[in-house]
Amino acid sequence: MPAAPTSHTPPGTRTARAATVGVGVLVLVPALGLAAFALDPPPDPFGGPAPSLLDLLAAPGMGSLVLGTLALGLGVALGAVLVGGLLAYAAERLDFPGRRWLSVLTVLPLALPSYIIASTTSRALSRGGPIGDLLGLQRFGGVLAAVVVLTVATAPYVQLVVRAALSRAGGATEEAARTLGASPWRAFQHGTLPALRPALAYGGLVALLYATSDFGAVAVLDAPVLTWRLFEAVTHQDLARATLFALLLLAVVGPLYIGTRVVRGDSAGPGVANPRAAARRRPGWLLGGAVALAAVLQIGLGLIIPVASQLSWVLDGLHRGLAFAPLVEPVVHSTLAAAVAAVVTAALALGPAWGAGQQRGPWHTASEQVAYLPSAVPGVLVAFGLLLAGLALTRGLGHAEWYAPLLGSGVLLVTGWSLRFVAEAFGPLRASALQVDPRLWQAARVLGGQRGRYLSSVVAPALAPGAGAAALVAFVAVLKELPVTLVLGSATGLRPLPYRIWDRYSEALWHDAGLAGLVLVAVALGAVWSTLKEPSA
Amino acid sequence: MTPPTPLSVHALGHAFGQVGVLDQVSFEVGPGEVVALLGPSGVGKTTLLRAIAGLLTPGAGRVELAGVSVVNDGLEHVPTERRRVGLVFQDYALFPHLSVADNVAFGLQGPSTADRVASLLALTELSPFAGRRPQTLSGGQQQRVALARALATEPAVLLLDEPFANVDPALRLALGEGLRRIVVESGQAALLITHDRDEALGLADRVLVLAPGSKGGTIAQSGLPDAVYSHPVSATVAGLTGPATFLPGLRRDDEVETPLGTWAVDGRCIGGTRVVVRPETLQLIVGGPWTIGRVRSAPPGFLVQVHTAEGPIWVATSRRPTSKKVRLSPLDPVWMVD
Repeated sequence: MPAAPTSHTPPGTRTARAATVGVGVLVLVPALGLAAFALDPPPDPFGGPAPSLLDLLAAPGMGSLVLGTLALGLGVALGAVLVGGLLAYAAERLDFPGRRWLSVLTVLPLALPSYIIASTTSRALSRGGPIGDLLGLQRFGGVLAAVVVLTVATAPYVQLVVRAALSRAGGATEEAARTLGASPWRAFQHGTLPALRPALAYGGLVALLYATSDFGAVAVLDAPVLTWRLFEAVTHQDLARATLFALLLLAVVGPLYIGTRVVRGDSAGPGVANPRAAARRRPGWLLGGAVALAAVLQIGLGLIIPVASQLSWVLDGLHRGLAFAPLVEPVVHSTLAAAVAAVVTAALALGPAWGAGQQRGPWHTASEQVAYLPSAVPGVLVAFGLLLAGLALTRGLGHAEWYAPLLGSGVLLVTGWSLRFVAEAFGPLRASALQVDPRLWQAARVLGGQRGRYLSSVVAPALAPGAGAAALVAFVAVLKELPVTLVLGSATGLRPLPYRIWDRYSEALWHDAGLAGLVLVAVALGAVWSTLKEPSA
Repeated sequence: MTPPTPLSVHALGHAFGQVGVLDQVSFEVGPGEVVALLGPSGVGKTTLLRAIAGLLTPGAGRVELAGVSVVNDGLEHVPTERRRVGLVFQDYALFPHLSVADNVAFGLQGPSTADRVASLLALTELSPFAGRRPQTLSGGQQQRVALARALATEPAVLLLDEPFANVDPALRLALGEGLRRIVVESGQAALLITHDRDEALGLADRVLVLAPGSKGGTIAQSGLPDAVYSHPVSATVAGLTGPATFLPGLRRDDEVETPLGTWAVDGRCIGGTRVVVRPETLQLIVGGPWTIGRVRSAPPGFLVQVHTAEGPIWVATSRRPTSKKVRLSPLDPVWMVD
């Protein structure tokens, strides 16, 4: 009997397409939930009339909320691009003592949740804090303080993306500009900056979305922004008002998002294969001073103050003989939840990543869009949209008994985390998928290889490092995540470390918050350290 | 008044850490002269080029551009942007966000910029592409943009870093001739860096052979292309400049005794223990002790492998051999090296 004809399409293509469609549908769920509540708002919990968007806009203080959100988003995006871009340039193109250490230490704030940076710096830099008293500062708070803290939290993302772009760009065009008589700045402006534009815009976008999604840091620093009001409305179960805040947040972030896409533009041209590294140069006093300032900001506010402050809170608790709440449960909850979410997130990103790495044309574009779409809106909106979708399901179908198990089982929470971080997991997986040349399948077929053997002996080993890196990235991200955890986690009974820190900080139990924070930072730092050593990450 | 020498390099040396890269490199490029620097990969060609351009400060030696000292024993006097060197990079390094015309105009200032760009685009036959982005052009067109951009500032010397490395072999000859035409027409002194002997011998007025030495790459021979090829000073130079087989030889006055016969020696050859055999320097004579092996087509003729007591030797012929048994005889007096 003749053998069945083998498909010309590489194995996994159809599965990847089906997975991409599935993730695409899942991505739409929060949007559908939000739309359902916007079109048919629920009754006011106190029996009042349902609020309208116009009422909300006319409410006192709303203007300052919108302006505060805009200022926060733009300020953090600009700050992160400046600080992260400068430090990336220093790490890749400058030559000075301690460069390697500086490039690692300035990325480590990636492991610290913004609410820990915010709570420790606000105490240290305000009156009564060691630095606040030294410098005579009154209060470290408000939108400006939130911009500083969130810049420190997001600059490492920009730094990593821009470093990779600088390394890809090589040094030839900048050197060409110099041989044509251009000053170092003009050579950088024309030789390197155009190649960095997409990375800078992408980094700025990540920072912008992080800032407009965060409500831990803005709450601690008492910064009046929409996210915080949205969370307050959710905790008061005022879903109609929360929906309006969500729509308003979307309306504020939307133009900023489009603006970043316009700045990003098309890639200025194809990269150079195996580019020669640019020669490093000694910085002048102005550039050296700027790099030193950025490094002090990152390492001081993002690493030394948080770790030292939390350590001092713990030591103070010990000195005063205060009782510490056991940490076993939060650590177990955090580790298990982050591990499950990391595996689910990596699995969710696998289909689109394989599709983006192996296909060209519309499927390639669709795979990328699907993976990046959830990161195009603030994470808190993804969580809130999922919550509303669950509620809409019970409202529409009339089966309230479905909703409680859906929330209680943690399915929505894990979905929320996975959607929130699918883009982060997508990057390393796609990089691995690109390593599998589609012609390898043709070679395997010529050699008589079967689909199963090809998948197990060629595809799986190639994807394994990327999958590991993707899971690690998602693990760290989930470990310190707060907005999704607070919105979707309350009903699960899950009490992970961020929840414990937030809870103890709200109760002013510094010693407990400090101990939980130190444990979280230690675990996350270990994971970030191994992520930095993983080339495919 | 005599124009200053466009490029003079004196006793240039450089090391990366403990590893020597260049050692006592000295040479000049005269006005309007096209000089090729030929050497194997890793011998320090690109390091030398970067040192001349100011992209690297050499540890020792002096570089003068148009009579002006730009670097001397590790002390840089003139930074890259004020050296007036034109550099055509291996991957061209064009600015992807600028049009062809803007790329060419990058290093220019003043009211005559537009005229200068127009004349260079005409010289490089790129006028119809003035408004296009570099990435929309073919490899050969991109190379001409890089050349026009480098020529625009009227540099003291034009440095060409393996400009044909990314070009299809079939196009190399045409592009090489085109490049030489443009350089010669512009009266520009140029230093072509290459590891390809055909490029070096075919395009340059003079060839410098950079060969590995104990402390790094050093100039082993300098001369006209034909002289370097026909009269190499060493087996290394002979191997770098073309296909060569070396036969042991016992010199007796103007003759040399080799395992293949006694042959006349070139009178200019002093000393030497080995005879340099190039494929085109021998002829096949029907009937002899050696056997014909493989015959390779090498248009317009053939390359014939002859199995001798000294191993296989390739001989160039215009016609396919008719006999299986041959002997070998040189067409001209042979050249010897140590």
